[in-house]
Formats: sequence, C-alpha cells, structure tokens
Amino acid sequence: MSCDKTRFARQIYSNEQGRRAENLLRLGKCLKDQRIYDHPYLKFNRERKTHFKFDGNEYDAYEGETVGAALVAAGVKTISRSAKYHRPRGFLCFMGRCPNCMAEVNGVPNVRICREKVSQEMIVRTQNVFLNSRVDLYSVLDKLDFAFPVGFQYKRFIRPRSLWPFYERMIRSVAGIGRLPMQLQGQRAKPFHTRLVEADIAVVGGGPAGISAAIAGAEMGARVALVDEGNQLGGHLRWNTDMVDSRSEFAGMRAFQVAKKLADHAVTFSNISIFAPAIAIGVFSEGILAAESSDGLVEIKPKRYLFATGCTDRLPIFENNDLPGIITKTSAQILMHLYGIKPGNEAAVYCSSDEGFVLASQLLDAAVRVNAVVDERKDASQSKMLDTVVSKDVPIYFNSKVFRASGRNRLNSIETSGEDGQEHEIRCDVLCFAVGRQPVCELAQQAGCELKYDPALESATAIHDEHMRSNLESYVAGEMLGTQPLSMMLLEGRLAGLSAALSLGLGDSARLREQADLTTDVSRNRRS
Amino acid sequence: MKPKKVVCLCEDLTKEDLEDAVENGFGDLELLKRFTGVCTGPCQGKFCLTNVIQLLSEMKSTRPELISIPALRPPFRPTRLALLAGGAAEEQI
Repeated sequence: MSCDKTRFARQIYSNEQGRRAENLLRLGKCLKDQRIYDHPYLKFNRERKTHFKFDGNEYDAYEGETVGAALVAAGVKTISRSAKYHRPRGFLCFMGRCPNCMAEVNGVPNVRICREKVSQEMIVRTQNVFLNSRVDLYSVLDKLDFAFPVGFQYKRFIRPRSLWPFYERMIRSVAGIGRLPMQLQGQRAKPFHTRLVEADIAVVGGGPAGISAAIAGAEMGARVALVDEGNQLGGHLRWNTDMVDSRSEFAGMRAFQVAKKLADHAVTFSNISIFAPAIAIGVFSEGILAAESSDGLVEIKPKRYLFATGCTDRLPIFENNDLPGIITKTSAQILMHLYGIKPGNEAAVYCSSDEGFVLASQLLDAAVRVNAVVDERKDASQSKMLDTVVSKDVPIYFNSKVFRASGRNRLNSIETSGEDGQEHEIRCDVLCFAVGRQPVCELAQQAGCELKYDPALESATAIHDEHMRSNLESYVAGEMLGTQPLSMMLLEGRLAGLSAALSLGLGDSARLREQADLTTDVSRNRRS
Repeated sequence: MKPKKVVCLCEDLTKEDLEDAVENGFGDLELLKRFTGVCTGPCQGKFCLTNVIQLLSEMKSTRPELISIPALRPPFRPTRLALLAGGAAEEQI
C-alpha cells in the first residue's frame, strides 16, 4: 500500500531518468508549496529542512513545524476519515481540540498531528482506513447510512454469540480509534516522569486574562503555577496581527507584540512557575490538577484554581459542514501567523461579527484571495473594519447564511442564501468560519463550578460573582466568560488573581481597595 | 459523499440523527448523550455542546437556559495511559 513515489521512480528508471523524474516531483512540490515568504508584519525563520512520511508519501518540513502545518504547506487536504461513515476530514481547529487530526505517529495511535512536531524519519499513518485517507474503501458506509441508524449498536451484533469475536474485529477495524502499538508490547516503555507541584494558585490558560491573573497573584506573594498548552504564553494574542483595542495599556501595538510583552513580564516573577506546553487534562481526587507536559505528567496541588481557558470557535451547521477545507477562524490565524502557511488559495469567510472582516484582511495580507465574506448580520456599516475589506474589492454578502458546501473530498464551493431568497454560489478552497464561540469550561465544571447558559454568549459558561469567584476555591476570567476586548480580559484577569490571593489571606488594605476599584470597573464595562 | 449536516464530528451524528432520537423520546440531554454518544467523543463536547443545546431547545421549543448541561469527563484530551501510570510523584517546589 505504501507508494514512496521518489524511490519508486528511482527503481524503475535508470539512474539518469530516475534523477530527472525525482527533480520533476520536487518541482511539483515547490509549486504546491503554501508557505508565506513575504508578510507585512511577520518574519518566519525557516532554517533546517527535514522530512517525514504520511501515508507512504514523503513530505518536506522545516524544523519547528508540526506534522499538520507541513501537510497543509504541501497542499494536503484530507488527513483522516470520520469514525462512522468514513467521510473525508481535514484540519479543523489546529489546536488539538477537534477529533479530525488524530493519526498514528511512529506506531503510537491517536496522536494529534496538528500539535506534533516533525522529527526526522517520522512515519505518520491515517488510522482506521482501508487503503489511505484519500481513498478509503470503507467510505461506502456513507452511502449505506440507512442501515446504521443511531443506537444500532445496542441491537445488532449481539446474536449469535459465537459470531461476536468476528464482529468485534470488524468493528474495531472500521470504527475503532487506532491500533495498539504491537511492537511495543513486551518491551518496557520508558517511564514518564511525574512531578508534584504545590502552589497557592493554579492558573489554567496563559492568555491575556491568565497572565494578568498570575501576575496579580504573584505580586502579592502567592506561589503561582501557570499552565498553558502553547509553546509560549500569550494565548490567542500570539496568532493575531490585529491592532489591540485602544482602551488597554497596550494601545497602538499589534496583538502578537502584546503577547510577547505579557509573556516576558510573567517570566520576570520568580514565584510564577510556568508549565508550557502542558495540557491540563482534568481535576482529580484531592484537588489535583493534572497536566500533560512534553516530559511527563505535572500534578499541581493548588489552594485556589483560576480558570482562564478561553473559547473555541463554534461549528456552523449546514450541508457538508465537515468537508476538508472548512476550518475555524483560529485555525486560519494559527496557520498564517504562527507557521507562515496559507490555509488555501481562494478563501471565503463566514462570520457573524467584525472578526470576519479582521480575518479577511489578514487573509489578504497573506496573499490569499478572498472571494467573499458572508455575514449573518443585517448591516455592518458601523464597523470600522468594513472599509478595509471593501477597498480590496472583496464582495460582502450581508444577512446571508451558508447552507451548503460542495466538493469531492475537498471544498470546492459554498452556496449562500440571503434574506430575500437570493442564492449565490461562491468558489473557494477554504472556508473560515467565525460564527460564535463556545467557552472551554470542562475543567471549571470538574472543579465544581456551576455552568449556566448565557443568552448573550449563546452558550454555557461558569457562573461567577462580582469578584470573579465561581465557587469556594475557583475563580474564572477572560474569554471563557465571553469577555472581549483585550482591555477587559486584562482587567478581569487582574481582578480574579487579586481576589484569589486575597482569599488566601495575602495582601493588605491597599489591595482590598484595588479590588473594589477593579470590581466597579469590570461591572461598568460589562454593562456598556 | 452523501450530503449531511454534521453536528458531532467525533461520532458522526447528523442533525437528522438527533432529531430522530428526540422524537423517539430521548429529549433530555443526559439521555441523548447516552443514546447517541454526543459529547462523549475524543473532543468531549468542545465542538458540539453549544449546537446540541440550541438544537434541543429549538426542537422542544423551550428556552436554552432550561436545558441541563451534561458532565464532561476527564481526560479532556486523548492522553497516553503510560503518562497516568508514570509512577509515584516526586515533590518539587
């Protein structure tokens, strides 16, 4: 099944012809290269090249790139198949949250390749497919969906009992998630390191609110453990090139510069221990917050939790909304601004706020053609960003919804309908959506915070009082509460950090006064 | 590819699947979760929870505030078992 084209070419031709065929293949790869070499605000360091194999084909990558980034750079769209119907799937969130990019890396199943750094001679394979991700014979199940209604697994395959082992093997191969690494069996795997860290405040999320909270706590003498999934601190600011809002202390700077500044400030505190990249995976017994870092497990035993876990983009529901090429806004920004890779060549943006216009202008900065901005709002003439997009001749469809995406194994076009029933077909190979957010509050929920549906945010988030306290031991802040813009996130973070430290008996009367001032600021800003 | 409106990417649940399940009496989010597997895949509801709450409130014509939010279980990301079986913790700090 593996078809290493380059080696294949070398084998069947004589040396001279083989070399020529190899060169042609290399030229083809260069033409398809999606990397950005010229960007108005960013510079990308690409030094040493390395290569890896995905489904038998060899791909080039630069050191520091993830497998996912290198695949997008090579123009690969379909990277996996869905669990039940084996529909083609591509990268969606690019931050290790969606189920689409799980693949087998060097024999280890369910590795999220959008986060996994490329190493020399890495072998990546799609899991649970018959052939490979592009041609999967199991995808016939998509057409036979009438035979597999929801809940069928409870009734079928039970009788006759004797056939169960056969069924089991079949089901595991079609609908399982990966195979156990057989070659590792019997070998003693290298034991992972487990560290126990005691802290006063554990801050989860190293975005603006998290950093600002950690700094507030540390200033008052609390021992703070700051956990973030990114390689550096800064959260969503790291992959945004937009100017930050003018009310914050960082007015006039671009978001990624603010991220750097905040991260540099956090590092100067000796009582903040930073764990990044480390993914908080749960709150376990005795109040231990477990985080997976690159060298092992970190167990943090804090007196107070502070969650500033942010948001994910919400998936819009329309026909074929899972086609490869339909990606979140965040994903497009991460690809363009962290890795310097164009998410596609002809883009469409589907939005319900100004974020869509910001994204459209960022796509234009990266030399991606923007064929349309589809806006769910009736009117955005108030928007400051509108002119930037209009001046670049990007058609904007107001009061419209995307109702269908079409394409075979990759996005080809979308269809939109306006309020007057007018339908448009827009050609694009990538659709970036920014239609609402969903707070990440699993950890807060586990720590005992009550979740409640917030009509303004149109999603569930943690309840909290005016001091950002959610329950006796937990504080929340930042975008996970739907907070925007940056100045508010920083304020909320500071208030939460301050309140958490005060509740531990740290600080003096001056801090209490600051808390009162911040509380009025935050509630006044929230009302406006 | 058959046209489908996918709500849950992990378990390949379409809007129609959820509507059928609600019609068959699995109208509570906890029941729906157990019957269809929504919010139980590798993403643990990160991409479906909000959509499911809104779909449910539309189908049952209730306010979304009244729909109970299911418990999301750890680990929140796929984690290696070897990591959890890493042995006794060493004290630090």
